[in-house]
Amino acid sequence: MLKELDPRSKFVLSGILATLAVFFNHPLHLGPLLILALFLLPLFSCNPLQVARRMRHLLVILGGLVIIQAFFYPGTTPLITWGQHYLITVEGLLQGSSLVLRLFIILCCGLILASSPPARFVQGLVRWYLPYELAYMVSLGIRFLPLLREEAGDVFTALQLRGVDLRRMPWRQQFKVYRGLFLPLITMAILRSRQIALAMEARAFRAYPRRTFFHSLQLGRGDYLTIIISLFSGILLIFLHLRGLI
Amino acid sequence: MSLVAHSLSFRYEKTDPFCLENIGLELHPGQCLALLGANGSGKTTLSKLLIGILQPEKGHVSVDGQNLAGLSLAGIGEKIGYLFQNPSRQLFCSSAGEEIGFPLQFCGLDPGEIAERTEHLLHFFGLDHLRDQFPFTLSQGERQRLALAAIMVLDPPYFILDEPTTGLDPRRREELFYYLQKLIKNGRGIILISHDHCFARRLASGILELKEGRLQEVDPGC
Ligand SMILES: Nc1ncnc2c1ncn2[C@@H]1O[C@H](COP(=O)(O)OP(=O)(O)OP(=O)(O)O)[C@@H](O)[C@H]1O
Ligand SMILES: [Mg+2]
Repeated sequence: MLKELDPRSKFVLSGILATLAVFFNHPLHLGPLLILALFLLPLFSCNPLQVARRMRHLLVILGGLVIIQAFFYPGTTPLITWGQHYLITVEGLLQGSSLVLRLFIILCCGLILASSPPARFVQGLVRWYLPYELAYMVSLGIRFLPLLREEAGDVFTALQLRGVDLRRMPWRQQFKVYRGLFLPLITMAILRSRQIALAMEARAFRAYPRRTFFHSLQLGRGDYLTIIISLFSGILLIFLHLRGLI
Repeated sequence: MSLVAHSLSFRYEKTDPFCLENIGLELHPGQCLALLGANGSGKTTLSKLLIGILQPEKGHVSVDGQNLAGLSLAGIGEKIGYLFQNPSRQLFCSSAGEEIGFPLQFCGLDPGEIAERTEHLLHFFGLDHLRDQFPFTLSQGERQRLALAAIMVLDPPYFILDEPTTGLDPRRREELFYYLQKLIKNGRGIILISHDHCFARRLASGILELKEGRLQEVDPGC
């Protein structure tokens, strides 16, 4: 399973994917790239369908983004006109879909990276001579988000258990509730992150300039293969594109 | 009229063995059941099933004849007051006073009455001087008392209290004891989860113990 790969190989792979996603600018290129990324995901034991279901709200927003782009991008080939005005142009539509495809590919890169447990992630970064404080902060940030989400979820459960039915409230009142919660939740998050920082220092984090790791990482044959294949195909694709061959 | 669990089974992952199996219990108004058990025996999990935060894989919970599955969390909250094991998780307002009065704003009560009820509970739980403090900066015991006050304000017929005595000093614990006793006398049903066996045995008329995923009745003698 590719999930077991060294985080550094995943870095290279997703880095190349993300670079290509930024480099290409046409749905005909970005589309196949996304399909490739989607095929890679299950190899990292990540089910794209499940992710899509969890992120369906985001998908709706992204759909909206295509439409907005299609409306506002100054194009010259009209698709739909309204009197003298071009409402939707081919360029706008292409631009919009490229944007969304690109976002999806980058999302896939994120998912690939996230298939390593954070501790291995830190170690991978440190092996590449990133100061470990910094690496740790990155991984803590990644881990902190679900924690925050869980906490916010608990608060909403508690809120409803106290007899507040958000779904049956008029939206104006709902807004009032959310607005009231915003500040306390943020304050809580800040206080909590300070606590974590203190707890880490109290347990000898940063006491010594270098550190050792409990599990140590080794690049294996699969890792070298992954790195070589992704680097090679990435460079090849960029080269071909620059020569106008694809 | 009762809070009933009908042979509940539950596990967190489909591949795990059941962490609770075939749990049945019945709580009547004016009754207090104590739920004991070692760390990790599933007390909190069972309480979350009873309040509808988690859904059982088998069996169901009913409150006053209504299936919990058909009620919204808000609907359940009007019938059952739930004290989270970690009280920080259920506080979300910017001051202690606001925390208590929060649900009343949505019940169509006028501000005078909200203030009155809030004051009463603040006073009872010894939180008068903290009414404007941010809940997160309260001491552990103060936070516990605030969370208790916050669920008492709606005056539901049943309560599930997950370790209400942790962090309370002996005097507060005695006060809580008498308060809960009064609630029971007034016909409220309470499920008390606790590691404080003495407290539990003094208050409860029935003692249940969770062991290896099953519920067994224990002799109430101390
Ligand atoms: N969200 C979760 N996902 C997976 N397993 C969980 C989850 N929450 C609890 N567990 C597991 O379920 C078991 C019962 O946990 P629970 O919190 O109900 O115990 P408890 O009896 O309340 O313990 P304590 O006395 O420490 O409060 C534990 O083994 C715990 O690891
Ligand atoms: Mg517990």
